Amino acid sequence: MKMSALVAMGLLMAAATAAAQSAPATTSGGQITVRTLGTGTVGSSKFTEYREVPTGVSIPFVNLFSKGKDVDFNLYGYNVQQTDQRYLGSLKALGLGITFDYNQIPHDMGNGGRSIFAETSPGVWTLPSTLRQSLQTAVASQASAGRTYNFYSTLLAPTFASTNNVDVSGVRKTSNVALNLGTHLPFDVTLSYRNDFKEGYRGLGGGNVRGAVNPSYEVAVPLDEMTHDIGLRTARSFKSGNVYATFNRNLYVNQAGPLMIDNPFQAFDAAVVSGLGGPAADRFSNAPDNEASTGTAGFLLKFKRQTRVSGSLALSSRTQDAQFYPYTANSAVLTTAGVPAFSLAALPQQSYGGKVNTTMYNLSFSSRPIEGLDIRAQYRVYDLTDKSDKWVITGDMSVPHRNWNTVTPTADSPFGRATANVYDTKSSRFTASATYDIRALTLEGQVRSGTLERTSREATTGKESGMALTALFKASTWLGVRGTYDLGKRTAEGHTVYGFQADEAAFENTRTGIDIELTPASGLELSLAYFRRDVQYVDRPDRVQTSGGVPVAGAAPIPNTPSGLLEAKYDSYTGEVSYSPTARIALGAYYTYEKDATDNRWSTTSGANLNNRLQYAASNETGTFGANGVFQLVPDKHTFTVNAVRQKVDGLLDITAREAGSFYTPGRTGLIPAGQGGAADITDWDDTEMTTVSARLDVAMMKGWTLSTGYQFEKYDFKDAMNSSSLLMPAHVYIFLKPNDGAYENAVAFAQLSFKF
Amino acid sequence: MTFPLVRGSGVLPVRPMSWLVGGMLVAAVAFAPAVASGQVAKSQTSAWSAADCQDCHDKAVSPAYAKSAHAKTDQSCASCHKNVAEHLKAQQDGKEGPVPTLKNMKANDLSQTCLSCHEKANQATFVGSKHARRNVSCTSCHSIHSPKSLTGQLKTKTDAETCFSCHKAERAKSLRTSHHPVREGKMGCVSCHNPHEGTRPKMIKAESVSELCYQCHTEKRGPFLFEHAPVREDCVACHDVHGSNHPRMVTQKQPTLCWSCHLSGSGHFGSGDNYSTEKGVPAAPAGAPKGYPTVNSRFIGRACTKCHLNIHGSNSPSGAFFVR
Repeated sequence: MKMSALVAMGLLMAAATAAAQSAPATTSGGQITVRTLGTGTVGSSKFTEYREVPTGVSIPFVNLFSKGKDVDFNLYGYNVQQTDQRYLGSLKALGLGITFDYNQIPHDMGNGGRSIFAETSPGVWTLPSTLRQSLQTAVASQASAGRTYNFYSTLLAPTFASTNNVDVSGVRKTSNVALNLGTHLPFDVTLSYRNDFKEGYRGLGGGNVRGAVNPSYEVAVPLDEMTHDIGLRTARSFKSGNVYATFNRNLYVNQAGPLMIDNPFQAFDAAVVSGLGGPAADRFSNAPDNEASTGTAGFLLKFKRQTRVSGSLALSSRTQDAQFYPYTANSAVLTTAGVPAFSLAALPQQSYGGKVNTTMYNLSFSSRPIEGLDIRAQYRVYDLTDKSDKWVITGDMSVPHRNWNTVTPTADSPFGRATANVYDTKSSRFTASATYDIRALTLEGQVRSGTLERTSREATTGKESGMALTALFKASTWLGVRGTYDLGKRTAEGHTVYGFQADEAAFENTRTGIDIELTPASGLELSLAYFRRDVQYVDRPDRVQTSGGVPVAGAAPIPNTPSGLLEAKYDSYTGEVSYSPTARIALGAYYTYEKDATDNRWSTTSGANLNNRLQYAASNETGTFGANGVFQLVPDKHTFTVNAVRQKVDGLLDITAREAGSFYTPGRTGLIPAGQGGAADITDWDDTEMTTVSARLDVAMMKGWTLSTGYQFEKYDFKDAMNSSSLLMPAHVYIFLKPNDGAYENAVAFAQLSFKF
Repeated sequence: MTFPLVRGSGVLPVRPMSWLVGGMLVAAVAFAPAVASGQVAKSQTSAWSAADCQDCHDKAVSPAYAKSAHAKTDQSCASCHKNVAEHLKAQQDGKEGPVPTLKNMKANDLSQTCLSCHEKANQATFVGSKHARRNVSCTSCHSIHSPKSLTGQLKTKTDAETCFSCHKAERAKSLRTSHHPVREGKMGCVSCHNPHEGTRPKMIKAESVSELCYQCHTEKRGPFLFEHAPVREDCVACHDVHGSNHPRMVTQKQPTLCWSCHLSGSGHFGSGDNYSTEKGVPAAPAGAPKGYPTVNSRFIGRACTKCHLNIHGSNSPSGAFFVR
């Protein structure tokens, strides 16, 4: 017998002994599962995106419990000592109750990335200064017209040949503890604490470190952050209802420094002169520390005829006052006042003083005044107010971010930059519904009405209204039908030239659904489901001639030139069957077809005339198939399970352009010649295919002992025309990591032994 | 009849707000036997116990039920099943009598049975909720006698399996390549939703979608010096939280996602620089070397966020356009 088995047996024997030593009035026991697993080597991080697949011996599950008069505990452990381990349970002793949950979530986002930079400290990506000097000299010596892709590709070839490996992954470790103090009190009191620690890499990031070259550099963004959440909940229940109050204090601490990326084409800080110059390295800010306090209170009153009145109030305050980073890392840039822009002294204030308050209040009423009739009404308000300490920005290095920019406030941007505006939002909604039962049929009608208010956005006000009809029919145990039709509308009022942005624009939103469930025979169930959501963005303005972003006086709208998102649709169809021919066999299968589609339009003008009219119609068609079978070879003892899932997503970007537009002007390279019609579609548009097939046999060998063996096959494929190249620099000058999170094919086999005691 | 202060069953959430509630509830489920046993000791009488029913209904008094708080209630089976004494007598006399099953009850009546104890905390607003109005009763999801889940006494091992039995579109979306770790068992539907919720939109466990997301993605909370307004209002303006085939669970692949709003104005949207992308994959010129770029920079890599990396908001004094 191998050592690992002996150890496992030893563990199991120890547990059995512990059980035998428990007090007579106590029930205790548990379970432990030991597994041995074999699998192939997979290069893609997709295989282990949110899990660990350990080869060799592991403990996928352990449980220990004891229920006695004075002490009561229950502990569950999953994937013990693995990166995806989890432990949860409860303990009651001394009149107190504790529940806890420790959950570790790995996130593998790409293996084997190739970086031209070296990460000399977390988030600091560097290149040797000698290399940067030689690249800078080479670029400065080349005329602008000669700085082609071929030029950069040749220049950087040695650098691309000696890259550093980067595995982009992170892990999240969350601990939750709740202490119930009210076990023997006439009211509930619970204290809770949550700690959330994330480390590793957040994912791919990076940006533009500009000098003579206008590039984008991709690196892995550092992740080192901690969140503390402390909460208190108290509630009291009485015969005719209950009341509650909660308070949470949440603190977010970002322990990672900013992202710093060396400029490969600039060895030293320099001001920009004649197109040359820039920072030797630049800084990208990360998330600042922030805090939030939230308090809620609510009540529920119960009356006769299932009448309920409930209300709640929630107040929260989010603050952020972290020290700013300087405007730039470039020591050669001066502000208008002659102060070095890389110095903190150049800042008009050292921190933001950010503060956002939210208020929510809600009142609900429901009743069943007569048998079969339900009525309900609700009024809800959500108000977000920006109380931050704003100041007027008169200069920065926002764009282009290698020079000092003078900023002039305008009526639309009173603080200098539009994104620095005060963004308040308030929404209110009233909903009323009535439901009536007519024997096996239930009918519901609902109406709703609401308002939207915003500051500093194009759509400053809006109204929402809607109605819904639902019918439910249940004929005994063999037929159930559910149908829903919902029509919602939103208006938008404000100021816009090209049309309100999609999230604030007027729309009509139709949702339709039908579900049919049939049980034609004992053990046979069929279901069919259809759902559609269709959002039409109405009232999109036609294009007009503009000058400097302002409509030219007297310019007439150009017909049939709406702009922006015009429609977003989603359809899903599902057929499902489950069949149990005997008590020992359960079979099931389903197929779901989905299609989501969006329609974006844009038109350009040449003077007062239409030039290009473009349509970007993106869609994804998805087919998902699932099947499973459970076979009780010997009831409650030996079970064979098979499972299969396959999902295929076909993405498409259907692009259409006006043939008479400027893109068809002869002489421009890469254009579709006049007469060929339309622009080229992109058919590989995040296409994915995932297949999983598994089989498992569980054999109960003797009392408490179960031997299991299983096999799982997985195949994943991904295609995207825009990112199919393995070149680190598929266009100039955009340098990527190209980590592997793509296609893989792999199989896993395991055997495990469980002992329940 | 005296009912103990059973605080109901609940799942084991990870979010702080619901953790407070859920933790209390889970604690009650785990600890109720001690509470109940204390009360039984107080009353010294128990008019009904599971043993009275077990002789005929042994499967209903399963090990899982016996360990649960329901088995320890003062009146045991009679707490929920009415007329059990009359049913027993009729059976013993060989006569036809009342059948105390809950299976034939209307959804609302069945739920009222459970709510007589559990109408508080997570379940406080179930009456009038969308699930209740759709005739989804407590036993549509929960099993009192044969639960399969670790917490919450669900009919399935995980909450997602229960929810997917009706929410089939979300089942398909959860299988997308870019997804929350639900199918890996690291999260569940109840990490974000309270299926009993009757007042909050979409039954989420926060007062707004953004506040819900901030519970895990706290780095996005800000407030930031420079705000991306749609982000502040609603995360689902850009993200499909149930799953997407596009990276970072966005609803549309970039740059078309950004073009939903940003197809006008200055900068590289108005200069014509952006428009060349409509050509898709243009052909390389004759004689071009292998690897000649045939993809436009606006599409490749992370598209717009190649440069506008702090798209959720920037606290850099030079971050007005989210490039810093």
